[in-house]
Amino acid sequence: MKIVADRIFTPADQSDFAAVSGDFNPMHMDEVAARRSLFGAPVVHGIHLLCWALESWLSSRNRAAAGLERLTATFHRGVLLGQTVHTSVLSDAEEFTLEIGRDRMKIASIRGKLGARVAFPEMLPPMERARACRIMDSAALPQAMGSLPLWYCAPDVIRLFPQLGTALPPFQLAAILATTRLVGMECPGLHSFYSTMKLAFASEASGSPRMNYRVAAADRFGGTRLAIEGPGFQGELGAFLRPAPRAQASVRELEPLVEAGEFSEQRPVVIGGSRGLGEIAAKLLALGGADVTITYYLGKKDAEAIAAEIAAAGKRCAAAHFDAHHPAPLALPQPQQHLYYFATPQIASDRTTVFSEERFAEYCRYYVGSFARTLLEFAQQAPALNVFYPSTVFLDESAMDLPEYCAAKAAGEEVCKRLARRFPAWHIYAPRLPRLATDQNNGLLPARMQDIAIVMLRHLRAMQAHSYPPDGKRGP
Amino acid sequence: MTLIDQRLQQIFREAFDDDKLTVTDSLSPETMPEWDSLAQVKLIVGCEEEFGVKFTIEETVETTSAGKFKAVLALKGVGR
Repeated sequence: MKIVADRIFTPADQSDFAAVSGDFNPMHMDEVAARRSLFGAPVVHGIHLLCWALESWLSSRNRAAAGLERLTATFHRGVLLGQTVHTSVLSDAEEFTLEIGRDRMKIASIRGKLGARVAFPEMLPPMERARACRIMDSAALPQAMGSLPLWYCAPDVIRLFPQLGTALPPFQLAAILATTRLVGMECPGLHSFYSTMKLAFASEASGSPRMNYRVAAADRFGGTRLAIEGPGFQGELGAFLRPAPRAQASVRELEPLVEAGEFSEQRPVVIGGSRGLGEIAAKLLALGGADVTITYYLGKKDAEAIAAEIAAAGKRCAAAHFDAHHPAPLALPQPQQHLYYFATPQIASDRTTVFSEERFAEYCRYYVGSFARTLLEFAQQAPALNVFYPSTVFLDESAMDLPEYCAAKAAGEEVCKRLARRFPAWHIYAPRLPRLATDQNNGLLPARMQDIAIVMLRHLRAMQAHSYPPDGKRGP
Repeated sequence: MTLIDQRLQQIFREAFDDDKLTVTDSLSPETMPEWDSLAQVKLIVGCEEEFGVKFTIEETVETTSAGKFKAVLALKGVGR
């Protein structure tokens, strides 16, 4: 195995590739939308990785290539911006095998066979303006079929992939590029990811410059096989219809659960209230009469939509920007004595090592350091603080995949105890919450989880029972 | 190796894109870093298609080793 290139992909790389492929799926392009996907952050296009690997391999060879006879790829896992990946050559012959890796993990396997150059007489049209991604559900998916134009802009492609762009016939590269547009923009579209590609190229190419597709099979986990064909090529793509971001219960749906006025003495700040646990906590508190402020770091639109929904129900909620890593005073009319801390990074396991110090440090930044700094910032305005710190039942269950997360939450619990001892006027409630239906737990496999509103309301009430009321005297 | 073991091994080889993988009962996410949720879906779909069975929600989560896959398949009558 010979490593021929390594690379860190950037947001500019994402834009460049989207411009030549036409795949503008927000999971690649939009930091806010991508945080609610399976990957939790923008992920590099699989076909971008493939083209880069082929480009790197062709650049490392002495012999020229004229075309492809076949090409297969399997994408095992996503690559986030900022991660270092490398291309390895396992077989450097007409029948070639490449591998893309990160640390010791296999990211993608690529196999193919070089062939003779095949001409396609038609002119390929340049890319048209980006359209919105199609949204497809599991009911519509099995019947889906259609056709995409094969777009190609030689100067742009050659700028990104000089070896590949000159070695392959344009229609072959256009077909490869069109597969990511098909999966990411058309079928399955918005909520999808690309998993496999098998392409066979013929010795002749004629016909309309389009890629025709139909869904050949779809399984109950969203796995989809797409049969494709066009001038001089045919093949099969594998993709997944991934779960859409979790929509939490509406204010109207939650209303029957909450007793009128039960949180009316609170003017809480919910850090990280733009989705998930923070969103549910904010809605329940507002329904109970609290005058809520939710904060967001990236999800401004999400936070404002929640505040508007709560206000439309006649309850009180404002949204404000807040950076837990650099806490600054919020411009609020009165000091806030209740603080709910839901700031979190994407929770994921790192299978490349038994314990990732890097990932542990990232969790600690949110769950320990920034948590403590946020409390100290708020304590300047309200010396008697009631704090909600969500810990995890994984500490009892020893979640095998998440040692760094568990260790950071354990450290967070310890910090809670020490802060409570150091500041007797602080009451910190740190329940170990079960796995709940949020974006963080929105995987491909179905899972039975407890009702997030029921669990959260139980803990909000438990915290309320032991809170310092506004007069500063301890509650029951 | 029984015929069932051979069929299961082929499912694992396809899921992990590794033609040389030897499946033992102890093979699990702990011993195999590549065994993530996507691989788990591929294994379950592979078993369902190959053996004509359907996994429950609990079984999709609990099959955390090759041995457990065999046990679930046996409970569903595969190999009988």
